[in-house]
Amino acid sequence: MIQYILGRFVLIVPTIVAVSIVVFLMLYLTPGDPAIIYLGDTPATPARVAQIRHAMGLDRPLSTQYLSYVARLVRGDLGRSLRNDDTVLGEIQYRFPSSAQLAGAAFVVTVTLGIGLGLISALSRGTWLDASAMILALLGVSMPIFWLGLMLIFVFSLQLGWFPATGFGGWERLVLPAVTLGLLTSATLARLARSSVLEILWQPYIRTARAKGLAKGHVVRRHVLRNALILLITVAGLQLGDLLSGAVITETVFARPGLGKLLVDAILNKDFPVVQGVVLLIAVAYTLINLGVDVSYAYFDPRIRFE
Amino acid sequence: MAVRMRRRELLRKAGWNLGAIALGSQLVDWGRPPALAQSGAALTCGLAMGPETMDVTVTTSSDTGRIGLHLVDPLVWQPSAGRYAPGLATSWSVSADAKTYTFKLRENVKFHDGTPFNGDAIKATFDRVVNPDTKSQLAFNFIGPYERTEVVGPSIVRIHFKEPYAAFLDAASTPYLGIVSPAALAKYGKDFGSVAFVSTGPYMMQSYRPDAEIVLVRNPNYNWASPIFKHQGPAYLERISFRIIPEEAVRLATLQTRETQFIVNVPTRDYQRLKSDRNIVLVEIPQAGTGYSLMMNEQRNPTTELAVRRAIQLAIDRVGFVKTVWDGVAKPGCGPITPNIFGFDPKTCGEGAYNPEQSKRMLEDAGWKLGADGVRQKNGQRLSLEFYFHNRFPRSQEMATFIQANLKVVGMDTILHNLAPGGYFAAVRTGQQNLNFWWETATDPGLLLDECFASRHANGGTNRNFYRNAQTDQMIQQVLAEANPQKRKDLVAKVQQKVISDAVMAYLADPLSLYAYGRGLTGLWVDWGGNYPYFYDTRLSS
Repeated sequence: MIQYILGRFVLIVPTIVAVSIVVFLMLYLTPGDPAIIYLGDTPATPARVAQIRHAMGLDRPLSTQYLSYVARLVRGDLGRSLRNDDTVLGEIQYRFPSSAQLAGAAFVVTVTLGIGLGLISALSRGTWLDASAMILALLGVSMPIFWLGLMLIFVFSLQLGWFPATGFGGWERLVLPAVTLGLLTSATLARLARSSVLEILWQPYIRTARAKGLAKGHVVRRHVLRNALILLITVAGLQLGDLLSGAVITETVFARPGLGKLLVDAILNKDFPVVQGVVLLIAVAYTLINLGVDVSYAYFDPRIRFE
Repeated sequence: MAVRMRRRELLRKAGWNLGAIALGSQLVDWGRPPALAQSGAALTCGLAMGPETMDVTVTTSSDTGRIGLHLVDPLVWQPSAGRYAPGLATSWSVSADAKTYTFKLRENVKFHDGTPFNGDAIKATFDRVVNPDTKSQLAFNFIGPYERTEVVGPSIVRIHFKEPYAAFLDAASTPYLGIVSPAALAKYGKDFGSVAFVSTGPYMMQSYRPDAEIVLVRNPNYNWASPIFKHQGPAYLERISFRIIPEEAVRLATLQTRETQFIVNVPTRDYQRLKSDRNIVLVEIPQAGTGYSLMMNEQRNPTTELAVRRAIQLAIDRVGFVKTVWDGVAKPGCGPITPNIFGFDPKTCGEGAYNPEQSKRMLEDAGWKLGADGVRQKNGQRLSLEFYFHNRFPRSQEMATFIQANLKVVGMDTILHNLAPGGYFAAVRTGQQNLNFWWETATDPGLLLDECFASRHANGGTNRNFYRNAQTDQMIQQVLAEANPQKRKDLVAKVQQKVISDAVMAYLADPLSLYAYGRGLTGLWVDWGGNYPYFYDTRLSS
């Protein structure tokens, strides 16, 4: 097992190298010059654009730029933003706690609500409970996250005054964005959980367990849920990665700093070092989450062993 | 600042508020006990965009300027159009050729790091602005044809320009040419602006959290306010927090939950409701600049034709545009500069008024005949326009759709290209467009006219009309060089008349700067151009 985990850790290195090359090339292939975007609507002459390109180091050959980027990366230096000269590491370090906090809280909402609704729905198939849970899931999938966030602010901040509308720091500022983000992702998980549980309920070993006279709760906990979780944790793991880096709308509505917004702004501005830094972080996060998911299989399903 | 509630209080409020909802109240109850209120001498201000840096001498962001004005002192203030008052300079003189400015500096002024403010600091600041490695944006534009700073003595400097530059006093009154501490520049290097920003203003930067909050604290040693303000000595407010709240409805909501006490860029759709709200003060100031306009590329068919450009001007219903897109919270555009700018020519307002029938006739006379598909044609070419805009321009999609509909009425087909900034700037700098939006806020007519109409900016710069006219160039140069106010005013009027007669651009709307605050706030100062609310004299009752 330990050997397996170490092997997976080693695989992170080629993943990062591949991601760095792909991101680097993609940024260069998409239209738009970072110097021109930086100067925007200021009246810059071609000579001024050339000065800025030089100051940004963009007039060097592509290979030189990539190699100097890799050389810095090896030293643990992610470089500085082309736009404001802030260190990329500093930009990420500052935003990571906010994103991690939001992703963690939203993940709790997702898992609790998603698996809970899916289970209730499957176990009461064909009843009003099933219909209600699935309508809720359908609403969750269909509701624009932007609208949902504004509605929650309207009700819980403006009308009830329970939570602040915006900001970062303190649990009270986390509730509304976490619910907004979690509600959306939980809908997918709920529908998946329902179909997965329904499929398991028809399996012969469930019939056998019931025939042995096991209590319903016991059957659900030990046999149904445990088998269903194999699929659900795979999906939930991917969702955790999405929540960490893809919460840009939620971050915007609730005025929170975050990696999602940083990444989108950096892509729009073609701020190469920032995009590379954030994408690398996300790639590492996804790899670690996948590793965690794989390892968890062994815990939930004793048939799986890493030998 | 988080305010925690006890459980009992939470339940009590929940019951109270649920009851209120049950009664069907849809209105915000301003009189409710402010659970989340912030009181004392600290102001929280809601901004729309997060500054990328706090270094005003590098940025192009209005929000950096808004915050930065509290951190710096301009050399001079401009309390009204073309009138200047002492700032860090107590007096000044301009040479007859407008190439040399001499400033006598205020003495006993110190930077936030305790080092003295003097002529060397001005030299260091301005030399840094023109250094390409600084990557200065607005300040580089504002400093114009800067040549060098001559430090005549500790409290006298002379700024030399390569060419006559009458706009320099205006430029020096903006936050973007604020003087920074040379010692801090040396100490922080590239981190100046993010880790620290050190100047002489009434507030000092305490913390800078991009996309979240910038906190300023009062400078206790401040004793050099301009006489245009109501008091001397340190500012009244101990602390100002500028919170970044990009979504406008949420920004307004924070004013109502009292998470903020002042907000910028008030949503225009809430304008009427807020005007009648007795608890909110709405500040509306016509924004100085060019207003929202439409550039028409003279190098790309069919906008090469004067008749087509005139027809476009006549086809746009500017009154309807303001009403539909801007909820009536703007004025229909008149000409290349807004009416509050020095030298504005009121005669320009009558030109190009909405007249779709005349627009159609003009196109007919120019040989553009209506085709079977409702689009005009001439010599086998359809009257089709490529319209480029980017998604960061406010309400760009709505504005473009409105114009597209107007132009369709007179038989023009408009193809909309809504792009990310990278694609947009790549396209418009190389002239792939027929139409693109333009908006600029500044207060000097010379700079505004220069960037839109001078041929030196038509080579991939800001003159995306690709308009090149020797006579106009000469007149703009005269405006930039003329320091005599009356002569300058006449020249500004002539440029406006000339570019209107050449139908270079279409002028859509002159926006208002909208701010809102609660009744407890007093002593607000906003510059006449409408961009910089300033809290030096401000008090906040609890």
